[in-house]
Amino acid sequence: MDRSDDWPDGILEGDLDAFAGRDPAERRSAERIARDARNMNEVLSAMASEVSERVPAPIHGRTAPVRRGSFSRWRTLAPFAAAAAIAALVLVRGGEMAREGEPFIPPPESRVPSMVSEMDVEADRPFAVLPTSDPDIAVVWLFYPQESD
Amino acid sequence: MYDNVKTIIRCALVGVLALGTLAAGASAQERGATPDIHNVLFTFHLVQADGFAGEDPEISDVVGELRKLFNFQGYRLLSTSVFNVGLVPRSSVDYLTGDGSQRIFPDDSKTPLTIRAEVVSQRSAGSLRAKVTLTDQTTRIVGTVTRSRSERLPLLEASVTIRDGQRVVLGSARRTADEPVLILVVTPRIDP
Repeated sequence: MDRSDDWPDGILEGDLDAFAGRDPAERRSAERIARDARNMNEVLSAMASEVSERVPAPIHGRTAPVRRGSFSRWRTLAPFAAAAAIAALVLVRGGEMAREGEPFIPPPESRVPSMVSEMDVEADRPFAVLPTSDPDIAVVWLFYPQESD
Repeated sequence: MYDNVKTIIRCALVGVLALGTLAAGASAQERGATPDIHNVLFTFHLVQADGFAGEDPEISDVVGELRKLFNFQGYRLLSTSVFNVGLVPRSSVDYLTGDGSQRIFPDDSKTPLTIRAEVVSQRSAGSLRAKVTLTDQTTRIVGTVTRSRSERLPLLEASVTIRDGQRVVLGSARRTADEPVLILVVTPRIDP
C-alpha cells in the first residue's frame, strides 16, 4: 500500500506516546485519527487484495492487440456506460432497496466496520467494540490497564 | 438504423439519470425532514458477571450474546433503572442537549451507585450521542508511583453514538479488585 501521505507516521502507526505532552483535546483527536486510519487501512487492504485477484495477468507479458474499430465504438459508448453506472449507484443509494421491495441489508462482514464507525466510541480507558450476531446489540468492553497489557 | 438506436439509448440514459436525481432528491428530503429529538427514555440494566446460574428474562437476549463472547459463569441482573432525558437547545442552535441521573442501590449493596447520561442530538439529523457514567462514592488513587493523587473516578465512562432501541453493553467495571465485574446495558427509546 502506498504510504506517501500527509499524516505523520507516528499517528498512523499508533505511536501516541509522542503526543503525551499535548493537551487532551489534541490527544483525543490523534487517537481518533489513529483508530480511523487503522480501520481504513484494513478496509483498503481488503479492497486491494480483492481487486488484484480480479485483474487478469497478461499472457507471457504481452497483451492482445486491440482492433481500431472496437476502440472507437467503446470511446463513444464509455461516457454512456459511466453515466448509467452513476445513475444506478444513485438509484441504489437513494432507495436503499434490493429487488422485490426487500430492504437493502449489507452483508455481515461490511456491517461490522460500519457499526464500529457509527458508534464512534470514546472512553478514558482502552476499549474494544465487539459486534454481536444481533445487529441491535453491541458490546463496548473497556479494559483496565493490566487487562489491556 | 444505427442513429435511431443511438437516439433511443441516449433517451433511455437521460431518463435513468433524471429518475436517479429525483430519487436522490427525495431521499435527501426525507433525511432532512428527520424530526428533532426532544425526549429520550433510557433503560439501564446493571448486570453482575458472577456464578449466577439462573436467567433473567429481561436481559436474556443480551446474556445470550455475552455468553458467546466471554466465559463468565453467569450474569445476574442487579437493578433496572429508567429515566427520561429531555433535550433543549443549548449553546448552539444546531444541537439539543440534556442530561439525567439516577442513584441506585444494587442488591446487597450498602453504598449507592449513580448512573448519569449526558445526551447530545444534532438537529434534523436524528442522531443521538450519549456519555454514560457509572460512579460510586469510592475515592481512588490515580497516577504513577512518583505522582499520584486521589480522585473520585467513575467506575465506567464512555461516549457512544447510539440508535433508537439499540442495546449497548458497557463493561467492565469493578468496585474493588475482589468484587465481580459490573456491566451496564444501555437502551435508549427516542420520543420525538
